[in-house]
Amino acid sequence: MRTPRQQTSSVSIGLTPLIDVVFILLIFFMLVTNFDGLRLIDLSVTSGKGKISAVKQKSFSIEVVGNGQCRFAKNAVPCRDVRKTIESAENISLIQTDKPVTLYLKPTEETSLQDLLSAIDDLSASGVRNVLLAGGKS
Amino acid sequence: MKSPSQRDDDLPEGENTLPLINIVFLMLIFFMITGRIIPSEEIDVTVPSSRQTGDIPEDRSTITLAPDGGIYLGTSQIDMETLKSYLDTVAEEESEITVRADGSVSGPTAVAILQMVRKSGHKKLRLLTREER
Repeated sequence: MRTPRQQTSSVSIGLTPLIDVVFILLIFFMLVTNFDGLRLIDLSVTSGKGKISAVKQKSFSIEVVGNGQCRFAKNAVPCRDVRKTIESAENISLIQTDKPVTLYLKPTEETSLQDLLSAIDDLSASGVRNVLLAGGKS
Repeated sequence: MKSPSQRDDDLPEGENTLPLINIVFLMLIFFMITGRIIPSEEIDVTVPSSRQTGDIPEDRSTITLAPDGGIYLGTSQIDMETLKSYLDTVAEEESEITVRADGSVSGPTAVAILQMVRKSGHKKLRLLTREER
């Protein structure tokens, strides 16, 4: 005759249902999980009223051509070199705090939104912070 | 001498699946911790990439600009006039508007819509971007 202790020692927990559930969870998370780091960035845009020249603050208008190229005073320059170009041409500092200088980024007809953001990134990397998106008419 | 298969047979039931369960558990924990579950969007948009840092998106009023230039509010396509009246309506309730635009959207079109949002009195204008690696 078996004692109660002998009976319990023969009972084993089946792992199969656990594995099933874990596999289903794994497949679920593999399918729905997204690794794209989505971020919300703040954009500064002109209101589109009036002309840029009417602004009292010192400002420059830059055209974004695309493929990392910008146009300043009708000359094509890489967007990352815009700060250097303006500073040497105008003999001013774009990052001085007492007299902030604003750069207006204007897209051309061929420019995509990605080109505009890349230009903002390039300008930001070169230390320029005061950048506003402007339309063709503003 | 025992063969490898004989040795496996000698293991108690379920014990030979333990390494598999361990790996599956580790993978499950990895996906649960590192990934982010986001609801699938009905309008397919490839958001532009940017090196700028920003906040993680939450549910807010979102305007979608599709690659073909279509403007969507939720899932319904609208024109510029409808967008303008919508923006005027929500301007008092919400100060923040999120724009989800495809990276290939024409720059002048995107700027015109962003300017419209700005003109309608929304203080904060935010664009959904993908982190550039």
